[in-house]
Amino acid sequence: MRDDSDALAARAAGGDRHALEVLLDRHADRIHAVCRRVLADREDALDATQEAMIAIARGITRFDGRAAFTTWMYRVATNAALDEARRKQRRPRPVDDVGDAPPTGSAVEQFDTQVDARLDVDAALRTLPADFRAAVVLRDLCDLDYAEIAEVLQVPAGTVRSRISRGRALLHGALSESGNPAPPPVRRSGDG
Amino acid sequence: MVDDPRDDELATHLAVEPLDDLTRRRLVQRALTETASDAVEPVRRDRSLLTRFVAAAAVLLVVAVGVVSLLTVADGGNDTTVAGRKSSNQSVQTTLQAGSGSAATEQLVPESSAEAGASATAADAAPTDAASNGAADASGLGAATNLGEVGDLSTRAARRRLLAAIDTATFSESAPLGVGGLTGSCPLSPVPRFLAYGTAAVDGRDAFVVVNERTDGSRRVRLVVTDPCEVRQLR
Repeated sequence: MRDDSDALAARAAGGDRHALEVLLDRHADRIHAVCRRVLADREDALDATQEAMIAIARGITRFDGRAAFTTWMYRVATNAALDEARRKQRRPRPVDDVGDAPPTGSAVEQFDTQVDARLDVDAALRTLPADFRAAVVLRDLCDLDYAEIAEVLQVPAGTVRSRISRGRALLHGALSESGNPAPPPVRRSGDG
Repeated sequence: MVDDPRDDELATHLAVEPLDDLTRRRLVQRALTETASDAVEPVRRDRSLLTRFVAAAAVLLVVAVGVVSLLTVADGGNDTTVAGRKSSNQSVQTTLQAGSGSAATEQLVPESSAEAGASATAADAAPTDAASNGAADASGLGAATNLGEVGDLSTRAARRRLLAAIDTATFSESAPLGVGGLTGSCPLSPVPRFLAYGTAAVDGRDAFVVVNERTDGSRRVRLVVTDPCEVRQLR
């Protein structure tokens, strides 16, 4: 997959729009997964995903292939998510905007435990600083190693280790407080 | 540094369901659409840069060709002169008869206003007969007649005799001439149509006699004295 993506990226960097389309389509779920978990908000995640995909499409001509395409892609996606998070912090929040509010009425009953668990995960994630969230997401969702995460976040590997360690602890604590059991497995879109 | 192992429990919590096809396609298409103009713009920018480069190169080329042309014309004039000079082996038809000095007064008229009032003191030095053997040679004066060494022109009488000889002489042809090689740093402008030239001496200084034809057919005689450069009009 990596070699294939890198080859596609090389073609896209050379102006091959079809290769770019295939590349974006192939990695859309991963980009979205990073944005979804770093932002811990469904709608914001879609906005950030769109921004990240535009940034990739726009910046692919500058992709020189020194790093793996996926590493570069994760960097773009993470930056898009963190930018969105910063923008969101600057925006005034409605009093009832507490994240993904569940539907009201009869639809509430349709929510299964899996959805409830995700909402709890989002709530737990929001207790973490965004930088910590990004480090944990890149490690445990995207399965990047520390060196790759350091490259994505542009911080030293020691900082990555620290953020992951503290982020995990905070996240485990938040999930435990909510009494949230591990959700049933789903097809993960963030696996690298 | 050894990485901590992935936290599988957190990995399970963090897992995100894939986007539905409609949403994915919408995201991809919008990204492509948003950057479609960007894909064209670099080409336009490249073309614009290329156009500017070509225009600049064309201007430089024109300037370079112009400079080279000017240099070529300047050199070519000399070359033409040399060619004409080499081809003109005809014998001189003119014989300058060095006459006896007369009492008539004649003044050297410096061309520069600073020397306008200066006059040469007449003396009775006679021009040499060498002037009678002028011939077109390799002195850089092309088809003009080489008067040869016309002698010491320090005296008014000598200059008068020279002028008289020139007046009666018949020159084979005239030619436009670059005289830079002859006069060195001495300017002679505008470059006239030359009939004859020769070497001379004035007060111990080397000099050149240059005869050219005015547009009305009359002859102008100038004396170019060196060290320092000085152009005197004899007529």
